[in-house]
Amino acid sequence: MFSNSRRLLAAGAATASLILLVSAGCASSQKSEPGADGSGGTLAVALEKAPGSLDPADMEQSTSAFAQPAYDALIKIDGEGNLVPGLATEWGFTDDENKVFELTVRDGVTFSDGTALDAEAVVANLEHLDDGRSNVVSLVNGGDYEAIDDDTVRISWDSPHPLAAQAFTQTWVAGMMISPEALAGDAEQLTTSTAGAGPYVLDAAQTVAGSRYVYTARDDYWDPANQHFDQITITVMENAEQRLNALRTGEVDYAAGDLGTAAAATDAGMQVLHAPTVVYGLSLLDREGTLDSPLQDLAVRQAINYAIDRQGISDALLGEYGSPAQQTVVSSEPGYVDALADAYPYDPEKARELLAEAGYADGFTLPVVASTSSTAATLSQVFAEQLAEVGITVELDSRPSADYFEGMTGGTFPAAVIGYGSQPVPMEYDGLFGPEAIFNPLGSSDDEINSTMEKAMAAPEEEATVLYQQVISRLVDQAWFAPAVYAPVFYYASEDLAPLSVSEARPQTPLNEIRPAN
Amino acid sequence: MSLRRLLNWFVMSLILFFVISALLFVLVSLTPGDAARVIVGPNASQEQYLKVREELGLDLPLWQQYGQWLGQLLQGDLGDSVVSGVPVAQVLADRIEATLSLIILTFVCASILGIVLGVIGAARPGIVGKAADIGSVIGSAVPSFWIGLVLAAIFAVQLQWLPTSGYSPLVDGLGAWLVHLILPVATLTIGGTALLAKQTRDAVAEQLSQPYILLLRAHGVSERRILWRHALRGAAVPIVTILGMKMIGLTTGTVLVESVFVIPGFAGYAVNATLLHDIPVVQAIALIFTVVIIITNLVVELLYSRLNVKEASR
Repeated sequence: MFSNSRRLLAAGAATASLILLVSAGCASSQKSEPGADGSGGTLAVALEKAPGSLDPADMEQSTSAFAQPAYDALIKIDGEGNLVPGLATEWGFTDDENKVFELTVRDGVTFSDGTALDAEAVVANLEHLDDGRSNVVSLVNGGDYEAIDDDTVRISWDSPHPLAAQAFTQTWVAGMMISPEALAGDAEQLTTSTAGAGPYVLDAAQTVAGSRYVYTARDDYWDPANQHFDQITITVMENAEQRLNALRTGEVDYAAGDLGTAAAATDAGMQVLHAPTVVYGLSLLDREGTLDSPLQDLAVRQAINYAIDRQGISDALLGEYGSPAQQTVVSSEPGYVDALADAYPYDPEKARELLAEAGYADGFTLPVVASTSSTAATLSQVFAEQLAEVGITVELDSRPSADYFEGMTGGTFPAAVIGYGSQPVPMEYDGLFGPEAIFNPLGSSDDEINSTMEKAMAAPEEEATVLYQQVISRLVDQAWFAPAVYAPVFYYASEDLAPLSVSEARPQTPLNEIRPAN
Repeated sequence: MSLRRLLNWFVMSLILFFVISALLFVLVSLTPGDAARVIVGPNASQEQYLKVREELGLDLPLWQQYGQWLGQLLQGDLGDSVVSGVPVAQVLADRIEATLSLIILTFVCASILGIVLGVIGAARPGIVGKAADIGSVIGSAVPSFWIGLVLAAIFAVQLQWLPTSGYSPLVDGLGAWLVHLILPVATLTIGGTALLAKQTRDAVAEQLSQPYILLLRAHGVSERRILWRHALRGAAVPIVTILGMKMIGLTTGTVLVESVFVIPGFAGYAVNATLLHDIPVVQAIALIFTVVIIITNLVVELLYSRLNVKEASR
């Protein structure tokens, strides 16, 4: 038996080394290498969240990267935030109230199923959007759509829609055009297949919905110079450590990052892309005293703003990756006010004075709902400490995301810790601070803000920017929020890719612009 | 097993299944949020959200939702994922190969390794036995996801011998398939083998102390034959019991390992579906796990009678 077991061991060892040999070979040959001209090969991407549907009309905006390989959009945003031609060559409002919008469609574009792009196709898409579930369709839907000739589409709305052009970009899914043939057929199919005018087509056979998406290049793409790989794969990995590990081993070339892994990614020699765009801070929800909290007093809300050491928080938590925030929009956004950059300097003494004037010399207790996601959780603790110094006891209710969201929008908390990605002011009005906004569950409403927004919506761009600035100034003046820092979203790219850059105006690189290093 | 007992077993299994599916329905609905919220995202308007909620039938009372789901199931329809609209049957079909590969490979590795180590341990009680004991305690105490993370850190990130994540279907080649499974299977095997080895060792050791072994020795039967044939067969009942438990433990153990190694199987997806409030998917996966558990129990029962063991030994 002993000789036998020794033989067994030897066989086992041999098998093990064989497996390791095979694996070493496979691990290195997992990706096809780029061709000699620097194109070809596979771009392997890892993102944290899968889309519910691949149909742009049903897609939540934060998952739009999954549609980008297959769907070109009418308009593109370049790195500096300028709108540039995509499937549309020209666009603009033809009236002076932002209610009539015209688009000129590019010639010679076909969808992956061979159908040609024309004005009728765009109209079919707009009608399809009207039935969509996407959170951005309201920026363009509900209009009358008309193909004036083969190349021209006219959209007319009853109310102003100033953000139509932004909504038609690759970032906001509304501009991604689907083949009218596919829309006329079984539109359900679009949840798991693609029929766009983009450089790639989803390979449904190799795709496992929710986990791994494989896109292959198509031959008849209208812009072959901007088709950089033979294949794009997107793998869903929820954990940032996993994504970084996959980058380190070369299984992945490009991945979503986070604050916790950014330093390690830099050490590992990755390109670390970050542009501060998420505003973290307190939303002082009970501005009108619906819950009878001290926050109904303007002096109290201002006191809270003076009590927060923004520079200190930014230095300690975000280092080079972030900066202090006093407004809910980033500096590249029309409506940002330079003069407000030091609206509430850190002054705990002044905060205490304001509180005493308002009748809270002994302080008070403030229930605050917060998310347990890593950045928000750390910030929540810091806010609680800093407010305690001026006598406000924060009763922190930290919850995982779905639960947090219920709490935050449920109308039972006077204040919440929020992390809100900076958006154009009209979008923030709809989502963050307008009377109907979901992030404004107690429905606080300010006549000055509402009437200024109404004017801005119908105003030409330059005039609108001035009006947006008035709205932002009013928000800061009335201390509806206590913004603290601008934090970035992170992306990591391997050195095998050509250098990428991001900006506040465009914090995420569209997948189709990523190219191999030469 | 008599026909009556088989029928009995079948009825009990059905009841068990319905209880589990109803419980799950209630539990998932008790967690905050719903699929409509997931679909429209955090920035959508209340109106948009309510529209989707109604589309999905989430505004109906819970018992009515359950009734609809059950009605569909009885017609052999697992329904559609409420989040993606993809038929649940397809979700499962896309993912079953990865999970099955993981379960079967682990089961085979753990069984062979556990039994071989156990028998060797019984034959050489001294140092080998002690080592097996210590190994068992450590192996069963350390959580499998931690083992997985450590293995991934060493073999994938540091040495770069193996991929950190993913799965390669069999059609794309045996080598790639195996390479992707080594770390997850090793992770699951380490935890499970320890207990199996210890039980096997104890059971075989007990058999070796039985009088019939002396008789066999007296008849000049070789020690190897006694050990691997007679003692092992005598020890089969506790081993089969542990194997059954192992199989059941595996179906749940894969959940964690699929998450750690980002394997597109359905076990890890169950967690995701729960977070997304995708009730039809959660229910279908629970159904499959229930069926696996029920069938495993049946197989264990059948093996007992096949091993010709008295009822009392159960």
